[in-house]
Amino acid sequence: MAATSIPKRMSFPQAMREARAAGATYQGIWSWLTTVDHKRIGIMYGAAAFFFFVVGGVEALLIRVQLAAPEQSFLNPDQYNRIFTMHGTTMVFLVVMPMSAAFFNLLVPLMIGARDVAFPRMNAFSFWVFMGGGILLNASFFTGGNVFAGELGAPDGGWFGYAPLTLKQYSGGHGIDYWVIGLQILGIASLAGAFNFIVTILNMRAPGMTLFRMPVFVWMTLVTSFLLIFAIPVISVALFQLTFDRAFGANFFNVSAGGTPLLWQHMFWLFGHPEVYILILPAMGIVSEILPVFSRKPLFGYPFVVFSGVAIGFMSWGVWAHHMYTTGLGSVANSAFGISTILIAIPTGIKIFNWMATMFGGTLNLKTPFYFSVGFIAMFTIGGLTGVTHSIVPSDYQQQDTYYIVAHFHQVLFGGAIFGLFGGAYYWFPKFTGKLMNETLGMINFWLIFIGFNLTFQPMMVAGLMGMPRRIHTYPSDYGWEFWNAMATVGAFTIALGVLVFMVNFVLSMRKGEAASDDPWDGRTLEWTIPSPPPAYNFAEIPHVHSLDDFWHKKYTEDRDGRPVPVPAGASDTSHGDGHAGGHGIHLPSPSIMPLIAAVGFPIIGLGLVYVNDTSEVWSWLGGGSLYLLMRPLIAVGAAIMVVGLYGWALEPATEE
Amino acid sequence: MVAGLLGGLAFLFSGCSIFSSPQNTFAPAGEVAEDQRSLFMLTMWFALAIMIFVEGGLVAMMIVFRKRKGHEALPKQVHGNNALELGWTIAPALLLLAFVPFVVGGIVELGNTPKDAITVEVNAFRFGWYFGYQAPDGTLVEGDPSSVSDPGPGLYVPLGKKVELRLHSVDVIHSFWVPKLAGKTDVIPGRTNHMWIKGDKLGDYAGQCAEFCGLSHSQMRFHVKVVTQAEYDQYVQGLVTARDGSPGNDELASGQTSGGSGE
Amino acid sequence: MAHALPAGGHLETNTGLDNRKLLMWLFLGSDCLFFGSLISAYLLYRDRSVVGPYPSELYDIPFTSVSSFVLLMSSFSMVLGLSALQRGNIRGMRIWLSCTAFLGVLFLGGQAFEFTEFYREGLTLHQNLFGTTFFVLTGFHGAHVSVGVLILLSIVASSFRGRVSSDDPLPVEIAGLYWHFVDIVWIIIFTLVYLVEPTS
Repeated sequence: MAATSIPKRMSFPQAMREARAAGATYQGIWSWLTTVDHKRIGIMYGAAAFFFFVVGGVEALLIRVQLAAPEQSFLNPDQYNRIFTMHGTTMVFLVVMPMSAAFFNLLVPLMIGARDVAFPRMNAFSFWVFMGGGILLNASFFTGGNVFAGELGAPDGGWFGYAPLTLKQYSGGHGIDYWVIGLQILGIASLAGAFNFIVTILNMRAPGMTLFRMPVFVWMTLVTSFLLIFAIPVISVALFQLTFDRAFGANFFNVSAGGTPLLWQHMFWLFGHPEVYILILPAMGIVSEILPVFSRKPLFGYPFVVFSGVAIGFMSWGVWAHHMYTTGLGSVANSAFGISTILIAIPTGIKIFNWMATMFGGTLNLKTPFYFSVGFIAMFTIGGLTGVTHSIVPSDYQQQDTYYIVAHFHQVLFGGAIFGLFGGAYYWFPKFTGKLMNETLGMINFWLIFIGFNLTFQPMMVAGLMGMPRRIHTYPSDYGWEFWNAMATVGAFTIALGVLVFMVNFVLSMRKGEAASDDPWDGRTLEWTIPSPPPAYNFAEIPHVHSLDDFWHKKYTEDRDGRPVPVPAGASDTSHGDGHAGGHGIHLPSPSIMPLIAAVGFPIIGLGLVYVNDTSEVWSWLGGGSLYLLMRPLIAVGAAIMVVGLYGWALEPATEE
Repeated sequence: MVAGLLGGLAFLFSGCSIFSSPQNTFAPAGEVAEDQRSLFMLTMWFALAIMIFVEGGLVAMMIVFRKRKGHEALPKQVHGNNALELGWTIAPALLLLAFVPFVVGGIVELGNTPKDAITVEVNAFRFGWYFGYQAPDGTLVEGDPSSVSDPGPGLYVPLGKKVELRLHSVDVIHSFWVPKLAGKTDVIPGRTNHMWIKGDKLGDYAGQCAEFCGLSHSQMRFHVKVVTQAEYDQYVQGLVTARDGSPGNDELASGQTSGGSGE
Repeated sequence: MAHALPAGGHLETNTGLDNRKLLMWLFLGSDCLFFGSLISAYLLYRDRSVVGPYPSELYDIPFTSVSSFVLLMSSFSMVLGLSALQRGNIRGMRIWLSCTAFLGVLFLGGQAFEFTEFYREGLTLHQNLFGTTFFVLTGFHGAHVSVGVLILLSIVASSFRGRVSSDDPLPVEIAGLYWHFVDIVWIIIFTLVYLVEPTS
């Protein structure tokens, strides 16, 4: 074990006191509303994403109850369509993406030896805009009439919103408008975050940290961020086009004017396919960090793991029409995309083999983070293999739009991304709270989720191959699907139980968890060199990096056989001791309310845009008036707030010198 | 949830097969579905092999290499092996590329209109289907539409004959899918997609819209009847009779098609 | 280095590029995809309008050439403004940046005039595919120009309060990058939308 002593326990309130001592001057809620500290922003992203995970999970349970047996009417078709639309939209945009953002925020500056991100206020802005978008999207539930009578107003076009179904003539009401505008706002948040992380990673690495000495998680953050900045504009344009068709009678998807619904699909999937790699690469980064630490040996083939991640990023732009094999694109297009999709399996395989080689010959520390990481490899492999079967185009004509596809993407997004994120939570919890999560509860959490997950989604593969299409609110009783659906429902509730255990573990551990040292797992990367929880300024002295896994090499040298030998205490120049010095003389960016103010403008403008053409009569008790007349002042107010926030932001100093 | 669990158990013991369905893609009754199933099986063995290797490997390593009390020595710090990297990049690439001829071949074969096929017009709307056949005099004659409550007459196809389907939608995107005969093709307004099927066993096969199209998407079902050539001709003639009032009446406007004009 | 953490203004960066400049380049790269998508929609739907009016009936190439030239000249005045600042001539910078903004407004005026003419000839957003794709594409471009004008005028206003100095010409340089990008996008639009002959 490395030559460190376990310092005095630092609790969360103590860490906050230190932060204030280092320059932050606000207390309580206000300190959270004005924070520009990446660690606090990361915590807020994590809390919000977890909240939406529960919301999306409840939506999933509602779906599973409805489908548990044939011909049920627990949910009517209208409710069902809205709930499955929100389940998908929530899980993609309000759970996996912001949870990944939480990890980017918490870890990237620490892993590269920086004190914060490049643009701390823009970082806060991203978070508040995301909150605005998430709230607007979910507020739609309450706008369909009497919520308690089951009249919902949420969007009902599916998470993919295909035209012409989502045009005004087939989707009256405002559900789709909430969807379109909500996603635009969320896109702005993601863009701002992505710009921030690219600049941070490219420009603010500690001296000596070349790109190829960065942790894999940081690489994956970089690739994901590049994918975001190029993919989001595409869906943004698609959403604008749909908005203009709906609100102003434009013809982008109007068949009678000569338009084609395929334009929507091409735009959506040009975004959509890079999007799924945006969803999985961060979790792959997390797994690439956990496996070496818990195997006690380096990541096997680091350059190849990095290159395959970059390759996946590039290749993800060339496969989008594999979501459109059945749309009649023609043999040439189908063949081209079939081949490119087959090829994208190769870099993924490289990662899996390298992860396995990392474990091989290691001394495996079987703790919860490790279980989730191995679970990731196991589940993602199955998901990836079913993906290969989809790439066999003629076969896909049977598989497309069935539960076999639903099983595939849940296998990679839940069994992959969510498992990775859970593993990361257990792994880095001690760094940010100074406590370890309870291992027994962790194991119960893992096994409930693992068993529940498999019980839910493997039967769906069978049901899909037996001809069960997607997005149906019920099915007949003599089609042979009821057994598989019943199993899936049992599995879903098992998952829910597992998530409950996680929540219990999280809260209990925060209060009474076993104290954690700065480096409880014998880690390899820079975040483990500073106190748990970290001081506001992260590093008392910015470290000088000499190699990949620099911290590990400060703790260990290698003997003739390549086995690590601990460096004697005091002989290393680890900046460990320095982390506990007061960190005086470090000026941090000042807290600011301007990002929040600027961000608040967006959902207000958004709400106004949803109803901008609505001629319903309102306020009859005031003498009447059309709704849209109220919307224009509302939009103006929102715009004014945004402009005030932006100008305030531009004019205030970034730090108080 | 309890009901589901009990229901599941009941089925386990009820003798009702849980692997049997009117829409089972693994019980093909037509050439296209048969070819698609074979292709799937080809890749499935490969996938199964990789899966066993990876899952088995993971479990084995967790057992063999787990940290044991008393054996706390740290392992050899291996950084990589270029030969291995090359190997596990090239081997999977070759294996995967081996599928390409089958993939492209299948795409081309299914995408080309067979030379000896008869043509049927398939029309989809919210929420049902109706089909148009070539009458002996060259005109188009249509059957009654289905609805959410009425399965309609179904699509008639003659046994053993390739049928080219031209797909039309009057409103949103639907998808024509009769799993036991063929994979699906989307029915998109403003364009005419096409696919061919062939029924190799007499029978009545279940189909369902497979592209989310709104409130009654789940009920947009249809069926395909594979009948003898004689029965097929009889059915089409019956439609002509119903349209014209009496056999042999050719007063109607010739060459009238419905819904097939937008390409 | 126990330094403060400004928005990358004075600290050394790994790439040597200031944080703010890198940010603007990334934003412009992203915006390329935005305009690329809009232009692609226009090109896809070119010649597919079911009813008129059609581009050949409406375009006044000489007029649009003039307004394009105006925008091009505005990039030139932008360069002069940056150059003035870099040489410590704040007043000169104010003049040239105001000139740039003015030319931008002139360009927008030309757009407005052109659109009004098209509207009078019956081209609206919902008339046909041409109206839809044309107005949305040029409308977003015009919005980008308008934001640019606002940024330039804000810089001029700031300079009156002593907030602009030749020690840190970066904000003006970055505004210049944005302005040149918007100009280049217009060159592409002008070429593909106005000049390249539709086949029908």
